[in-house]
Amino acid sequence: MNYSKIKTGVYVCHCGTNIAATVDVAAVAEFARGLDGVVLSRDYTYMCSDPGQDLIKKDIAEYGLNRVVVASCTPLMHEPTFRRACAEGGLNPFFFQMANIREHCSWVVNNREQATNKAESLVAAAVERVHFHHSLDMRKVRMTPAALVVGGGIAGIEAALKLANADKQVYLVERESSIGGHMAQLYKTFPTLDCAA
Amino acid sequence: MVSVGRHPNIKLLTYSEIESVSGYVGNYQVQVRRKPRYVNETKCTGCGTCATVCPINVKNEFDHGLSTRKAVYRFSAQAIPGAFTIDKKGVAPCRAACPTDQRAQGYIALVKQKRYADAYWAIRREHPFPSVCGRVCNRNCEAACSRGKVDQPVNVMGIKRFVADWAFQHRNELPNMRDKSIVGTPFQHESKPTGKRVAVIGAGPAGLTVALDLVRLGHKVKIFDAQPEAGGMIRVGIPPHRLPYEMLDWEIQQILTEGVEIQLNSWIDDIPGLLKTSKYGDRYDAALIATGAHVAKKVDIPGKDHPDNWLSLPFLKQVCLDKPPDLTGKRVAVIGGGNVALDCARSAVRVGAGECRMIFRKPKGEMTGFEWEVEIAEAEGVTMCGATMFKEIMVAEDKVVGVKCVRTEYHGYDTKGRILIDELPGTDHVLPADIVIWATGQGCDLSFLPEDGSIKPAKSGIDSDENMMTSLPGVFVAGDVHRGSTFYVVDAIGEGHHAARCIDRYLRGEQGISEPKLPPTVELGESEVRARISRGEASEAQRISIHTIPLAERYHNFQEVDLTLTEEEALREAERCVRCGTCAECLECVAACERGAINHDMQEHSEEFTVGTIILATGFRDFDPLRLPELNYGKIPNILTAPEFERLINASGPTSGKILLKNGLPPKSVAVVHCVGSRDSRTHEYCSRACCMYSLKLSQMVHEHVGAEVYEIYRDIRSFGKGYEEFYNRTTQMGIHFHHGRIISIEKSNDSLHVTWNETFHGQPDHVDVDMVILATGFEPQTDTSLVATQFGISRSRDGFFLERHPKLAPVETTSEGIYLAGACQSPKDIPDSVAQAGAAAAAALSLMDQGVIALDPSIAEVIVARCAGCGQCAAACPYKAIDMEKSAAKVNGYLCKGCGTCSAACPNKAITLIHYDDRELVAEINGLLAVEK
Repeated sequence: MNYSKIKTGVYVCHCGTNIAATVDVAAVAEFARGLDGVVLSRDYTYMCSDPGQDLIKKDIAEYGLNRVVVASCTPLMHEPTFRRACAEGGLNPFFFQMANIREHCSWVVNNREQATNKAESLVAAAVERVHFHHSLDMRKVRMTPAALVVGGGIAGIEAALKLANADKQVYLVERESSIGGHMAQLYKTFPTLDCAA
Repeated sequence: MVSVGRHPNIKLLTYSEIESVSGYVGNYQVQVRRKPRYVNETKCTGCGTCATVCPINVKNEFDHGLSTRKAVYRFSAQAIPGAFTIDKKGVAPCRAACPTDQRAQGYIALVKQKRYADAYWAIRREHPFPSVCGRVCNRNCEAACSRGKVDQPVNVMGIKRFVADWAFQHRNELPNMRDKSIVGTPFQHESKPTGKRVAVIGAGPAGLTVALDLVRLGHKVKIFDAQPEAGGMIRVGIPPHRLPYEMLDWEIQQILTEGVEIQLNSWIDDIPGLLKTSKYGDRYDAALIATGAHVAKKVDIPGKDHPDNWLSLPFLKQVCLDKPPDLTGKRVAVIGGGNVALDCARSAVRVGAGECRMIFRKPKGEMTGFEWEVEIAEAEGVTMCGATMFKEIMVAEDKVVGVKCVRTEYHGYDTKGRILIDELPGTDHVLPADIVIWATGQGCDLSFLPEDGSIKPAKSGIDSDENMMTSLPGVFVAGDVHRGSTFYVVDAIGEGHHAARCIDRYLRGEQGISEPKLPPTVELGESEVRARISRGEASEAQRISIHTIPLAERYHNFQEVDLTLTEEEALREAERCVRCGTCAECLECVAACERGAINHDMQEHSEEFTVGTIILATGFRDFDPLRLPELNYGKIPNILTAPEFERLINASGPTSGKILLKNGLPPKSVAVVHCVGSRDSRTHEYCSRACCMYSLKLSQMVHEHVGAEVYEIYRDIRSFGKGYEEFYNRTTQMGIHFHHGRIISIEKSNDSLHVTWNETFHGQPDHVDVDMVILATGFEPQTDTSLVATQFGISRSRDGFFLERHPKLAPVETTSEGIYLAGACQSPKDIPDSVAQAGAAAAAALSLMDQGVIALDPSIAEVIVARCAGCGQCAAACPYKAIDMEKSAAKVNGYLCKGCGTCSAACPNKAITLIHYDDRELVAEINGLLAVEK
């Protein structure tokens, strides 16, 4: 691998004390600085906060970063956040890689040294991997303004009406010959003892 | 509910199920299977007249089986849509087996209700001769009858005869109801004339059926028959000891009354002339040959031409026309082992034959004659000489003296259908006989066919295309003459109906009636039949057989031997029907519906929609306490589940809202047992969340309605919602008793129920005796949750309910983009929570749809075309059907692909890879992980 053109920025998040209490975040940031292609490395309290995201945007402009690694929580939560930050900084959002050092590390490892070692490994893996990323575009999909609701009980009825009132076409599919479900069989309902049907 | 029914933006598809889901977020293609309701939703006003005439009662699921409903029913009093539905599982096997399409379950259901006139017209709808097939049918229906899987089939023929005989006795009261016989058919009485004329040659069951169907379609029909009586083989071939003609003549007369003309004693020998000239009175637009198989055959052996060799059919004709020969003291040998031979032998016995033998090749157990009739014939004095080959008719002094025979050994049939019989050497013997009657098969007299060969004969009989038309356009053929030999009455009638439809289409083109399409046939397993009997849906009684007149009364006359079932017997036999199809297809509802809303021929069909988002709100099912034997639910009366009790207390329920014990009295004390099927390692570990509160509600209801003492046997009271704790406090203040503990058992004790639990506060078992117990049953995932999860590509949690994407941050989302969860399909929840979640799901769906265009992750599969060998393994492995094989390479549909990587793992050539997850990246990641290992 030729690293001459790679300029990776690594950001290690404290997540308040969620990560920092178990992982030596400063040591991880320091470790990252020595990895191939890494031109800068920082640790910060809340990377997902606005100032955290601004760090990324600013560094892209200032240091010409072309790869970004954030070591923080699960990508299910904040991958979209950091991809957006990259894009706002002028970098294709798919030059970004996330290392999960919270759910996969600080929350499940008790020993600080072991946790820090593992966080370093996860960061190294992300840094190696992000070299190979390339520019991608999101797939655009047109939304059909219609919804299928499966089941005509109280939940299905409620959802169908909400959607239909918002002027969406709704297909409400019910297995029985009438809608109503369990609710239609009830007499009075708690806590107000009003009529069910 | 009402708003849903009326909302212009909601298309309501009830009685429907999801067949398949494909596509991707924004563009999901949904196939919905619409089950036939058999009632037109827009025409039905919900008046309920259909249900008042329906003869089928079944348990009402809406009342949890505490009441019954009809097979045509409305789901509930407040159903949306309000249209009725027919609970039809399919065509009953008896109907499917009958060539005439006779709905036996229908008339049996009507007999059960003593509606004999309705039953008669139900039979007449497909069958013009109930008296005949109530006596001489081959009974395919009984062979197919599900009841036969457990004991003996229902005596369908016996019931039919009972109805036919009843109708004949009450014939003067029936005609004003005759319109019932065309209900649900394309036929009309006094139909508008089409101006088309049809000649029918032969007044047998096939010809008469065709004639009746065609006049009911408005065609003018004239039947010609060479015999002096109408009826064909059933009139001149079945002797009166099996079939008295009085009723048959009445049945034929009814056909003539509908406008069919008949000309007897007329031999038609110029069929093309019927169509081209007026030599037979009129010029006809079509003709039907239904001349039957009236030529009896002999086998070519020495002595067969002596005049004392008689033929079966002429002999039977003499008997049937009341001019039987006198055989007093004669020794008769009937050659043949079929039903015609049996008719000849039993007739011979009646006209004085001193000895009567039936001689046939196969052993007695293998002969083609009905087994039950063989026994009767033997009792009447006929000797069965089975496994015997007839070699010569012995003649001495110009008189027949016997039949020279040899014994045979039978080996069944070979693969080409040829019979395998060996004659045993050295077994020659002579069976004495003065008269030989040949009953060795029947063929057709085709001498009337035109000499120019324009109507082509078949190997036996007359050839036709699949529309029953012969090689001469406009000339059709049906019945025995089509098949070339004698078949059963039902076969002739069935073919007659088909021929009538073909002729109608020939005459009226596209307006002609089409072939019927039946729903699939119901198949009940033995265990289901047993279950229906044990649930009391059919009686446990054994089959009632037909009685016969005493043997002594059967000589020197042709009195009918079989007696009809008595009314009491017919009713008892009708009770044995297990009602395979649920709906009996008696079509009484069709007759009753003034709006013409009912159509029993509706077909299941599919509809397809494109939607952007999907909300699953498939709900839960109630826990079944039969799984907890210590509760004795279902064994001891007055133990109800909470959902059952809900129906009991409901003003529209089985007791109109009265809380009653099985003995009809209100309970003085009631126990409510909590956590049935919840928080129990044997059943479900989870809390069902709604039961505590509904139990408190039920306690309040019981207390208010009947003033009974109420005991709550609870584990913990979970009153977590808004206003719930206050509701609990109110309940305690009403004087309801609360006992903290886990239920041990419910036992019967004298007239009450002995409820025992482990009382937490003193650590000992405690008990109370009450009149009624309500089980607070928990919630379970629906039985088909796994199937639905697969269909929609979503996951389930360990408890079996659908899995949300994130328990806190994405509680209504699923891992499939654009698919959301609402209500108890995600986890047990009460009404306020279900409604709240449904609102959240709707909002999530709306926020996605209102974006108009959404962006999807680009990490999808990519084919390296140069490497792809086109083996197709990736396409087979793809769970989203996102890969098509084009020419020699795979092609990924970028919208359908969800980037799961299954294809990449399946490819033997590394020719398909996932963007940003290719081997280089994965190896780099692993290298990174390993490099810092300390």
